[in-house]
Amino acid sequence: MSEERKHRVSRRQFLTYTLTGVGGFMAAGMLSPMVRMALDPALEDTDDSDFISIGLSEDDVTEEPQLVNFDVEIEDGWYTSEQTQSAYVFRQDGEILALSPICTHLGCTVGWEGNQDYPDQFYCPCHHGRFEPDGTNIQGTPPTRPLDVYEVEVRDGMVHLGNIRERG
Amino acid sequence: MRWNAESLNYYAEAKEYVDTALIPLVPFNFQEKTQSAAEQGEYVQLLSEGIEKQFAGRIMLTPPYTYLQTDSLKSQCEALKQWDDHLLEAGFAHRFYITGDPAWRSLSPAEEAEVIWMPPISLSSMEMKQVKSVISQQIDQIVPLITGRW
Ligand code: FES
Repeated sequence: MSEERKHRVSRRQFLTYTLTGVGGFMAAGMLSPMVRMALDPALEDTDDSDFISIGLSEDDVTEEPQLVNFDVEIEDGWYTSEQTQSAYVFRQDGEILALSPICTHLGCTVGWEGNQDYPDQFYCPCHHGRFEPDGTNIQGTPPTRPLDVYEVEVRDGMVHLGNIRERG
Repeated sequence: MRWNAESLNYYAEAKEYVDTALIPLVPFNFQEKTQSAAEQGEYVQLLSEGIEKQFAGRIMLTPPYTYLQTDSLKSQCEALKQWDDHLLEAGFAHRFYITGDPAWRSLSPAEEAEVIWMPPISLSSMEMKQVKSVISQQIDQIVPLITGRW
């Protein structure tokens, strides 16, 4: 496959696609404008109220990434529904980092140490994409940018996550 | 990915990466045990959607294959075989059929296609939270069957 081909799908397209994938576990595929706002920093400025607690205390954040699921409320016209999202939360150089587990290649879910051959990496089972612990994509594997990060804030000792941000 | 207009755009660009089709087998009839048939169909679709979510970059979730339960199993099988041939031709090297119907258990439309039978669980009395956790537990059981083929 040529390099050119690989890049024909723009990041933005894929981000949009990925978000569609994240959405609608129960409410199949109906992605409301609210979701886009909640997930896509390009569409909305950071606002305090966007941060939500993921039920994890600051003290429980380890150096080892842990997968945390949390529910985000989605307003979709007539009804409100809850959508489950996940993040790998861990401490790096004292800072709390929350990475989205959505592979930046085509949107599969990566797993921390998801492959025995690659300890200390995030692994994507779909096309063997790999990422460093800090989310940097590993050259020679399909993903072309790092895993997205959530904005992190600690309030009253609890970890809160905000908007998701694309890097690289 | 899903077989909808939006995803098909992405599919066209990423075709070479999407080699697996996931087909929910959904029963239909208005004669007997309609309640449990409907429930089974919903269950199978929830499972399928959950799997697609996790493997969006490699799996194409097709519209459900809906069969009339009053039809003979033989004719159902033949019809399903047509889907399978079509999908194979379209480039889906792996095809997984998800069902909660014991009738499909021992059947397979083709050798490299796999029918995954999950004992149906009644979700109607559960709360959303519980439904999600049950579904994700079931999905954890199905995942190795799929990745094992890759
Ligand atoms: S979707 Fe992760 S490597 Fe392709």
